[in-house]
Amino acid sequence: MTLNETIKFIKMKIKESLKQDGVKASVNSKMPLIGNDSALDSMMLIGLCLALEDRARDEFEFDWTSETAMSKSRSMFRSVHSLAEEFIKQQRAQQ
Amino acid sequence: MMKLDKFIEGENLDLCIPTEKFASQSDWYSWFNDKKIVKYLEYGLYPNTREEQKKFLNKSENRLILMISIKNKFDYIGTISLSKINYKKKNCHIALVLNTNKEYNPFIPLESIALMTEHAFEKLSMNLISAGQHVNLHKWQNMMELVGYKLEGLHKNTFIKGFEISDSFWVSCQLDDYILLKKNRGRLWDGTNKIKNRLMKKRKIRSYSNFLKGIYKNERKKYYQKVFNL
Repeated sequence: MTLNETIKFIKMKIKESLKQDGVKASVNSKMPLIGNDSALDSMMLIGLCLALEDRARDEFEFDWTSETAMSKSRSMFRSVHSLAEEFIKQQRAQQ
Repeated sequence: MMKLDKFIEGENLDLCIPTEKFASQSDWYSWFNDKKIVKYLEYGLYPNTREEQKKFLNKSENRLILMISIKNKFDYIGTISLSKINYKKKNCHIALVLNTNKEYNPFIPLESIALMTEHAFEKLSMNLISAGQHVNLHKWQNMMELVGYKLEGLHKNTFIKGFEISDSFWVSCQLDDYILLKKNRGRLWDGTNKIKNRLMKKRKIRSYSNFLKGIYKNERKKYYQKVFNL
């Protein structure tokens, strides 16, 4: 998966999740995933990361729950783009 | 950041003891004036102040309230409480308030529930812990099932705030279920990774809340139409 495909996938999953909950928000790659300006709650974020883990399953293990991953969670969940970057970084490191 | 004493330590968080000084000097009081934080809570009708927060903390009869802190950071992202603690009937309510403006590990809310639930059964000798939730929090209700909370029912039109009238879920954790989970896992929260793997598997099971919503929308309606037309 390329960075652009990952961004597209994340945006699609967020749209699905927000639609399910009746939340209206525009989704772009700068959209924050945590904190004050995020339209996502922690359950949506977990759902999104589980979807990414599923997506990675056959190729590599996407780690977002280990202590190391969590220590950089602030930067990883800063935006759609930064999550996609972390996903690609882990993919490359395991290939 | 003010350092509060830790009361319960977990994997991703610590549950700390709030003090009067904390209530009167921190921004804790302001959480209850924030529309985003109180969206699904029965707070936000009247303005909260530091003084009110101090009074709230001191009115601690039959209640245990703890601050949720990111592990070893003393960065407080929410509160978790047991209220209406009844030692005769051995039951109580559990509630969580999260400062959604903060950045935190998304598993912290569920681990907080697990730690407080364990405390209620193991230390306070409870037999039953219950909670009510806005119907829109169905994903959260679904997650709480992983730490022992079963869906007990859907209460029609019980969440009222201004013009909004919504349904709420009622959930509870029974001592028997807690003992079973403890026997299977060792502890209610046996690690983020194990909980995450259960969540992964759980997505393939149709949620009981959806099933129940269907019953309320169809079967229940038809049933009472028949009964009330007898």
